Amino acid sequence: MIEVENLTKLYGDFAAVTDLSFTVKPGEVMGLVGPNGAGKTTTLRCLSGIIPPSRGSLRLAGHDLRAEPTLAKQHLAWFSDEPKLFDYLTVWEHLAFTARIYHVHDWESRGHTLLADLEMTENSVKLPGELSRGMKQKLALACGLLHSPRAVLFDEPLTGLDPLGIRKMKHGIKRLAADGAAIVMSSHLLHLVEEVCSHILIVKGGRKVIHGTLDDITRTFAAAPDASLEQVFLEATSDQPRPAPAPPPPLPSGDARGP
Amino acid sequence: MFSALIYLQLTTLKNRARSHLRRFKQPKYWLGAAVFGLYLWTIFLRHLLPGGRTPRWGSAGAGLDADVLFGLEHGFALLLLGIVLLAWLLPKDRAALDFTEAEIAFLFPAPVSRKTLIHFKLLKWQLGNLVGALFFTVFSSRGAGGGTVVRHILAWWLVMATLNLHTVAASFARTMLLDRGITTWKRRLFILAALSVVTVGVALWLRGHVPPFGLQVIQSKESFIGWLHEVVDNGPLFWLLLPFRVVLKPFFTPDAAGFALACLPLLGLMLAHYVWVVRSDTAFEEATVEQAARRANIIAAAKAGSWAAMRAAAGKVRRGRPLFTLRSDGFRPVALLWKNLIAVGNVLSLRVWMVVGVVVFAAAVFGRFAYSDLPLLPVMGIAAPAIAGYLFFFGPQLLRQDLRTDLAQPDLLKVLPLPGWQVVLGSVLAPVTVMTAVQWFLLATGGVLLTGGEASAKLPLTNLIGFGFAAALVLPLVNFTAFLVLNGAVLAFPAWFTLGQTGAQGFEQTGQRMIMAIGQMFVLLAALVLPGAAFAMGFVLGKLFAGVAVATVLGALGAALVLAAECAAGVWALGGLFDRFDSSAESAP
Repeated sequence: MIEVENLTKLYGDFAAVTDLSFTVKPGEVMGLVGPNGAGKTTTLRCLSGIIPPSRGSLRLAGHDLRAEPTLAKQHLAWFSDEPKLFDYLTVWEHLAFTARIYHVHDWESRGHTLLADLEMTENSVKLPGELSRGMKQKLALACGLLHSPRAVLFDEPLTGLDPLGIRKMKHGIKRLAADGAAIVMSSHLLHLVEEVCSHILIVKGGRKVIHGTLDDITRTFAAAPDASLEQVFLEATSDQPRPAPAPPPPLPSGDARGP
Repeated sequence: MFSALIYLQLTTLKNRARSHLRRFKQPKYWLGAAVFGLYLWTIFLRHLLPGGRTPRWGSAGAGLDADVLFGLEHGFALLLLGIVLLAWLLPKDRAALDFTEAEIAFLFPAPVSRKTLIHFKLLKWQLGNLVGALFFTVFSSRGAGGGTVVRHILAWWLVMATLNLHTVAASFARTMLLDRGITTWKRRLFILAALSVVTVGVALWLRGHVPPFGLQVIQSKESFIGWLHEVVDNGPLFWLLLPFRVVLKPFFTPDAAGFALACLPLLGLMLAHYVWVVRSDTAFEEATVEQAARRANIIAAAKAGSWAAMRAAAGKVRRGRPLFTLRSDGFRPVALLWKNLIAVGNVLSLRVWMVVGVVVFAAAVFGRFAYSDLPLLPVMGIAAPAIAGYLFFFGPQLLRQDLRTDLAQPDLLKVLPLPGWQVVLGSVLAPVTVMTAVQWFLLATGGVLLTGGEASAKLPLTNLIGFGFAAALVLPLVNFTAFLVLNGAVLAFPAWFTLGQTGAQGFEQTGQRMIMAIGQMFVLLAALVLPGAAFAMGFVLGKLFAGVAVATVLGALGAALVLAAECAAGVWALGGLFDRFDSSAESAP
């Protein structure tokens, strides 16, 4: 479970995020979308404990991130848009390091399985400098998943992946959710968000515009009930006045006549 | 077309200067600039003004006598010969001009001729040469007076520009040879063979014409200079060094008229090089693109503040073997120690050094018992612990595998489920461990050497053991304190260090570093006051009941206890700083 209440992040006088609240339950995948500079990455970085929030409460797997940071982070996995790795550790040494930090006792068997799943087995003795960007992303994924996290944060997880990588990442995210993880994913690729996420949070200027299931937000913003997330997004983040909600679908002629 | 390139260069310079000046809104930059300016003025610049000290050497004046200038001129000519030889011998890459990625993207597909591109580069390099000339003038003409400084700068610029042209011409020639099927090794073998022939020829000539080099040559300056005249005034060495002396002549000509005259043949040499470069029909584009990409990666890593990433971008990181196997259970900060030891091993190759250490120690033991009367042994015995003490000053600058490296990527550490104090402890342990190991080795080696011969009479064994034990006890904690202070400075004042995406550079940054170094030194000295007092108390108390050896150990115990308490408090306090560390603050919009 990921619980965010009144999250505010200030940089001097500039509010990058203002009073943002949402909850992601186990098994849910929430897509965090918004225009550039909307505060998506700041939100995720606050949630991951990388930067401290200015105000608000953040809870991961039932632990307050400010009061119990170690316990909260024990259940967290954070995947940044650019994989961050140690230059001097090989792929396998990254897993060994992660295992000690998170105390994963069966890490070797889990590590072998993860590397095999990610088609990284033959790269286990390579350094990050010898890996392609996609491979680095896979390594970050393997490290993040080694301790079976219950709260998972993805910042633009599909950047730089090839079509097969994108497909595998989508399946991986769905499988994580199916296993009971609460997931927040930020992305500009709206059709992929639409495909993977059960819930959507649209932010703009650091504030929540709307949060709910895709159906909920479509009902609120779209001119037509079958509108795509892209249309909804453009409508929701537009500076123009919002049009009238979509009219209800036409009733069958018999019903229209009434009893 | 060339005017567009000039515009590019001038605009870049103008905007770079403007953005540099804009930084002065922040106190840390103008304070840094002020400190660096003060340093530069005190040490160098005030001597360049009229009324400063007499010039020491070079065209800036006649501070040194003609004999010394003659020796220096030929010494530098030999150095230039070496540089030129290396330019032909070592490189294995194809010719590449150092265009940036942006220059490549805009200029290579544009309707710009190859010759124009070369001219653009040659012109751009002159700016770098001028900066280099100013830099070298500050050092070489320290004490030069009046208008002669201008000649000094000009002379340096001529040397650097000629070398620059020759290096480019050599790279074109090497590429041409590669294109004609002459591989790098074939070229090297040919050059080495030619060099051997020339060396043998010179040696034979010297044997027949010049008295042999010996004690009688170096018994006085006059005899040495006389011998040097015989060697270089005639014969093959005269002709071999002539082009290089032409390059250096303006620098070593003190009067204005002589300077102008000395410039004429040099300008002719430069012109010949220029024609060589411009008329070379060598493809440099492909290698330039590769070089630009490689350099862009290194610059990006440097801007990220990570030396490790820079090494990785330059392809210098190699797989290192961990010193021990990391288990998945146990104290978590050990993982950071393990990781950082791998990083240290990548730079210093710990296993190789351990083998070297064992061999040196074995040699010391052998020397102590086999040649105990050798006068060199006690000297080495004192030098070893002295080096251990000296390490205390420069070791922390070499061993940076702690928060100073890792905070360039703070996200990596911040997401770990570790309290701040554990991150600080784990991060600092690796450099402390390595430095302590080296110091212990030096102490042990010095101790062994001092147990024999004349030294053992002056320093009784009990005292030697007492001093050694006391030093071994205190050193790791002093090291720990020193590294804590350095890491604490980074955590407390991240804006004053090159962390994250700031990548700020320039003379004001040098000034900032000086301020931080002075500040760190004061904090460290303050941290050592209480342990020093504890040592004194322990020593005095010990002296009441026992000898110097026991008193020293007791003093060291007292100091170690206080240091340990200080270290614990420091780790705790820095842990709090790490927990509150906000990497976004420096790069806030």
